[in-house]
Amino acid sequence: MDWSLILNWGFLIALATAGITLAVPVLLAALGEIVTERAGVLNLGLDGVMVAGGVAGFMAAFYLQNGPLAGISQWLGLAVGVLAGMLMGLILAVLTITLRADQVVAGVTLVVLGHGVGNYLYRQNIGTLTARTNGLPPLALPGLNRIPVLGEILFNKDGTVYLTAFLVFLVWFLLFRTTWGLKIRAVGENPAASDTSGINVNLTRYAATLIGTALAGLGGAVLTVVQLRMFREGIMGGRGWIALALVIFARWRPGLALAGALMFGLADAIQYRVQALSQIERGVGTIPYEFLLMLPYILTILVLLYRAGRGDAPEALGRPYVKGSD
Amino acid sequence: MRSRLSFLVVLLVIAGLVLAGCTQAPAAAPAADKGGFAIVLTGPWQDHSWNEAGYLGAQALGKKGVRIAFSENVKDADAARVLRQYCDQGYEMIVAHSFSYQDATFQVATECPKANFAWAGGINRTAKNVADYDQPFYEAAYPIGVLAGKLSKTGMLGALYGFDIPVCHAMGEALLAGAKTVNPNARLITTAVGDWVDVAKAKQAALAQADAGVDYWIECGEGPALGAIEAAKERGGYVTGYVGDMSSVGPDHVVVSLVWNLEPMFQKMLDDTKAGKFDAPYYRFGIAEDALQLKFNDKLKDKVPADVMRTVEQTMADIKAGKVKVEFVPK
Repeated sequence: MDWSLILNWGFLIALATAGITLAVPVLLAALGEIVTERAGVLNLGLDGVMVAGGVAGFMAAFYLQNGPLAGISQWLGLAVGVLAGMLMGLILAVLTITLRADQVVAGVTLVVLGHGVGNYLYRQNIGTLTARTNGLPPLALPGLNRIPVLGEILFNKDGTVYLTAFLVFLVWFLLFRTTWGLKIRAVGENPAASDTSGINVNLTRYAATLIGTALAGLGGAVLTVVQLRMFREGIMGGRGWIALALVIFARWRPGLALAGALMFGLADAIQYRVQALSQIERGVGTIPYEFLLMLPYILTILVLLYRAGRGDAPEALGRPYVKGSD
Repeated sequence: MRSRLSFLVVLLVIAGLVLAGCTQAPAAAPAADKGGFAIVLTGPWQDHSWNEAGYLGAQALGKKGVRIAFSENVKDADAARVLRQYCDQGYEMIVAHSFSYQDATFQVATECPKANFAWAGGINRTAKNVADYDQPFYEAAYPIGVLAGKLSKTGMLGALYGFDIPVCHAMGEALLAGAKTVNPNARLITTAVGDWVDVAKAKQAALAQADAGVDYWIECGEGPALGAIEAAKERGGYVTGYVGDMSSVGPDHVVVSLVWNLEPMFQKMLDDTKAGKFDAPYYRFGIAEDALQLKFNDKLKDKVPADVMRTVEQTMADIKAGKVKVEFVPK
């Protein structure tokens, strides 16, 4: 193929734009899951939480955008997505923290529940494929957007992209630079010791679970309200599961989650572009598309191999805490 | 404590399953309680596409007084159970409207010899009481190509597939062949998204094609169709509705829809069953049988010059009359 089609600024800008768009929803969910898992709660229900956030956010934005709140309807939609996520989180927290249910079983329950309730509500209330939210316009950051190439890639995005970048920082700051974060991590490593030193284990786990599902709900809502501006069954495309893999991939670190999400997004973006461009010259693809489709997964396996056997995971992950049992 | 907990978990699972499945209870029309036509669908029927085509085909039979039933959102793992249920309820013609129902269909068909079955294979795999039916969408892609060749400003046509399977591949090639009859310089760019329903990925794949110059799309799969429509809204260009009237989904971009009319084929299945002539048939209903139609978007009709419209309609007529034979290029 003709490499000049790929090695130019226009291509790189389009590539980075697509990569960032694909990365945002998964990254938000992964960030949330990092907080939750750091406190020792495994939320396997992430995909269901994203669907709940996606459907609630979409419906709120859709219904509000023609009313008196039209101006902020899309942001309100995102907020409702957050609340829906937290509601799902509350169910999980009651089951796994208060009632000490098996976290794997409860998580899978949450997936089924999220998909079931989400699709049911959408179908009962809107049901068509033609409903669209208004979405958010790109918000150019004055000055910064004038930087050649970089300005176009990074500083001419809709608000949710900046918000996501800020949340990466915020989650890192919360976990590693505040007493609160220290408590979360302590509870995830050794709940008994934390309890002894006066940390309320259950309260901390409740908070971490709710923060986590709030972010996952936001991720689902960003996809439906802002990026695709529609909802349909299966629209989440298993992104919750990808986010769970991303957490392991990122070794429970927000910064690495950002890098990983961008890598996944870029891998998808690049393979679509190479598929399309490799046909301009000769009319046929020169690289088999199946090879390109497996790129993101090869990357995952490589990283997992590299980290195999190292104890990155929070020590008490997945184990309910019973006072005085350790 | 423990028992209360398991009760809660079970309750939640049931709530989820019931809500997810609350639309799949077979809705039987009142009529005779023996005989009749049932269809099993993979998704919701209002998808403006594949499932809607199956649903509308069954409804058309229902209007003629046939006892009909349908199930939506049936996962592959549940297909055998649902098919068996229809067999027990006495339906004589049961359609499993998905390639992925293959194993379930053949399995239940051996258990239930009194009913006839059909699956959407398109590969001519049949059994004594199992029919296969083809999806020759490529035939209609040819006249759509004639339209695309005229409407595309760049001459660059895009084909967006869920996966590069023969049914899909042939659509892209037929589109190009049709386009070349009016624009010899027309070229085709194909992309396999790697997913049938993921709209976000399909949209990015379509945007990548737009960057390569594509301004007319044909799609194979519902996700790719919705993705192409969303991409066209951002970049401009025209999109083909996939296997159902998608005019309302993309009112300013879906210029024509490839519509799959399953009524004649479903009627034939039922007739063959009643006449006792059903013996491992392979149904192939294309343009000539009126199973594939073009539905133009009324809102965009003025964008299509009258002479182009005539050429497209003439091409349809020629295929129908057998004067033009569209080549099937599976790979």
